[in-house]
Amino acid sequence: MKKILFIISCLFLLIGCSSSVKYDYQVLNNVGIEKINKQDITLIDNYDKLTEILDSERFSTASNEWKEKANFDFAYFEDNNLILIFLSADHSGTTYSLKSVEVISDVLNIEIKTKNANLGTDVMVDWAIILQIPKTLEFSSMIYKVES
Amino acid sequence: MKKILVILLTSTLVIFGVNLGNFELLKFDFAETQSNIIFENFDKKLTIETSADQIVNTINATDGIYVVLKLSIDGYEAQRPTSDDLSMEEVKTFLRDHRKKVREYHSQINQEVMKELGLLSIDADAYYSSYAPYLFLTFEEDLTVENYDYIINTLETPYVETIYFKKAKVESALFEFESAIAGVNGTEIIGSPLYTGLDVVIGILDEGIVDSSHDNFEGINLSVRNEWWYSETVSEHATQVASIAGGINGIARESSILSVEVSGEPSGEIEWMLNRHVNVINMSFGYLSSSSLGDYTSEAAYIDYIVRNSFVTFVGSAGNRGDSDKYVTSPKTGYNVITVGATNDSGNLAYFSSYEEKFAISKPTLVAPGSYISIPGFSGIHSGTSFSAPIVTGTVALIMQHRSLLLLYPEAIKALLTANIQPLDGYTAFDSSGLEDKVGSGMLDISSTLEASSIIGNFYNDENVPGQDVYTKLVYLNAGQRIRIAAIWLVNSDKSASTNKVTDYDLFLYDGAVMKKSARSGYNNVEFVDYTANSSGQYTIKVTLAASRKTSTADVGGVSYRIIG
Repeated sequence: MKKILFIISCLFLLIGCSSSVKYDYQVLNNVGIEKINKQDITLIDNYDKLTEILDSERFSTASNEWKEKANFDFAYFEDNNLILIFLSADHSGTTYSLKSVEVISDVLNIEIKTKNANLGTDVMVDWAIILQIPKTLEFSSMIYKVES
Repeated sequence: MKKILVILLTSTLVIFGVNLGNFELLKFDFAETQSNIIFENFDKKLTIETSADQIVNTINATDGIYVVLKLSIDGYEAQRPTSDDLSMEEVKTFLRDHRKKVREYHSQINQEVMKELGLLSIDADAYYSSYAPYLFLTFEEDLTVENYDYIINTLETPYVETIYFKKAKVESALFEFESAIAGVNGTEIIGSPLYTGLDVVIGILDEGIVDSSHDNFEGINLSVRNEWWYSETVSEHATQVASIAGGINGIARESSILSVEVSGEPSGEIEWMLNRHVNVINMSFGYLSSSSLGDYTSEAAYIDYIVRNSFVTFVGSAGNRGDSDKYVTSPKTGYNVITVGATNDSGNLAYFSSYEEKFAISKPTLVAPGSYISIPGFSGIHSGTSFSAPIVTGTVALIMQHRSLLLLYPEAIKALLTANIQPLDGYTAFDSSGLEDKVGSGMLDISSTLEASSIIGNFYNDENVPGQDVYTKLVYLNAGQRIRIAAIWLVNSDKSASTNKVTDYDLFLYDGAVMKKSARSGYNNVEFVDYTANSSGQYTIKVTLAASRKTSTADVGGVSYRIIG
C-alpha cells in the first residue's frame, strides 16, 4: 500500500513538473490598435526593440494606458523578455484571460480563454496581453491558442 | 420590477374607471393554429419531444429564464391618414393618436388574456406588451415541472400561438468622420440648416445609456431613461452611437434623442420609447448565444410587429462576425429591420461585417462606413457595424424631417434607402431577391435618398388574387441608363411560421409586353431590380402578388427607384 502511495505521489510530482508556470501578465482592451492579424504575437528581448515598436506607426493610435503598461525600462530586459499578443473581438461581450503558458517540445504554447456574454454591442474591440517571461525560458518558436 | 409597476398602474386606471376602449376578447379572428414551443438559446438542444423533467433541469441550469407567449390574435389593423398633404405637426398628432389606440387595444386584450390564462397566479413576474400580442414571464427562481406544464398547456387554449423559452441572464463586459460622410454623399447635406432632423425623435437602444453631459449633446433635447429601481450604466458606446446619429456634429443635429439601456428582452425599453413618440430606433447591439445567431428570434418577431403596427423605423448593425461564422446578430434579423453592414475607407466591405442568415431573408439591407472611423468628440479610431448603423439612423431622421408623412411609412423609408444607393460593383453574389449576399443593395447615398423621398410609391393590398398587380409605375429610360428599384412590404412572422406568414410579392420591369428583369424571391419581404436599358422608351415597374396573401390584415408596401446616367 505504501508503495502504491509513493508511486502516486511521484506521479503527482511529475505532472507538477511539466505543468505551466505562472508569469506576470496584464490583459487590456480598447488598446487602440487596429489591423490585428491571426497569430499577432511578438517577442521583445531588448529595450531598443521595444522603443522601436512603441514609436512605430502601427502604435500611433494606441491608448496611453497600453503604452504606459508596455513601457518597460532598460533594466527590465537584463533578466526578462516581453511577449505582446493582440486579439480582436467582434463584440463587446467577449472577454479574454490568460489560461496557461508552457514550453512543449521547444515551442512556447500560450492558451487564452474566452468568455462570451449573451448580449454585446457590435463594436470591434482590440485586446492586448502583455506577458513577462524570464530570459532563462528557452524556446525556438511560440504560438497562442484561443479557447472558447 | 418595472413591469409589475406597469401592471399596477394599468390596473389602477381600470379600477378608477379610465376608459380603455370598447373591446370584446372573443370577437377576434384567431390566426391559423401554429402551436409551437421554441427553446431559443440553451446550450443543450431541447425539443418538444424532450421530457418535461429534462427540459426543466436544463432550463434551471441557467440563472433565470424568461418565457415569451406570442398570442394568436390578429394585430391591430393600422390605418394611415387618407390625405398625403399633412404638416409635421399633423403627422405627429396622427401618430400620437394612433399609438394611443394601439396601446389601448393591446393593453386591454393582453391584460384580459393574461388573466384568462391564469398567468398572474404563477410564481413569476408576469407582464404584457402594450403594443404587440405578447405576454412575458420572468422566473427569478427555478421553473417547476408544474409551472412548465401549465405554460405549455396554454397552447391548448385559442389564445396562444407560440411559446419561447429563453435564458434571461445577460452578462456584459463591457477614416475621419468627415471622409466617411463624404463617402456616403452627405457632405452637402450634413450641416445644412435645411436638413437637421428637427422634430424627429431618435431612440438609442444600447448596452448602456448615453452620457447626457457629453459636449456632443449641448443644446440637444436628450432624454435618458434612468429609473430609481434599476442601475443604468453610462456607456461610451451608446454615447458614440448617439453622437453619430444625432449629436451636434453628427448626422441629424437637431433631432431629439431618447436613450435606454437594454438588459434582457427589449420590449419594456422599446415601449418606453414608443410612449415618448420615438420615430426611429437604432440598435447597435446583438444577442450572441449560438442559437440566436443568424436566426429569427422572438425579439426579431416582436420588433417586426411593432414596425408594422406602431409605425416606427428600426435600424440595426449587421454584426461583426464576417471573420468567423458570418451570422447577422438578432434582432437585426427581423424582416422589417433595416440592417446595416460596414465598409472600410476604400469603400469595400469591412472584413468583419456579417451577412449570413439561417432563414430565407436577405441581410444586410445596405452598407455604410464603419471601419477605422473617427467619431466627433472622441479620440482614437473605431470599428464595427455599431457605427455604420447610426449613420443610417441619422439619415432616416433627415428623411423624416424632409418628408414628414414618412414618419408613418417605415416600409417606404426602407425602400428609399434600398433603392437609392451607390452600387458596389465588385460584389456579384446576388440572391433571388436581387440583393447582393454581402453588401445588400450597396452603399448608403444620403443625397440621392433625400432627393428621391418626394417620389416614393406605396401599395396597399387587402385582396387575395395571386397574379394581380398591386403597384404599377411608368418610367422613361434612355438607352444606357441604369435603374434600381426596391419594393419592400411589412410582415409579421414568427420563427416556425416564417415560411407561411410572409406574403410573396414579386417585382418586374417591363419594356412594353416584354419582361426585362424581375426579382422573385419567396419568403422574403424585399425585391430589388438593377437594370441597364439597352433601348430608349417607356418601361413599366410592376409589383405583383405571387401567391395567396398570408396575413389577415392588408399588406402595405413601399416602392422606390433611382435612375442613373
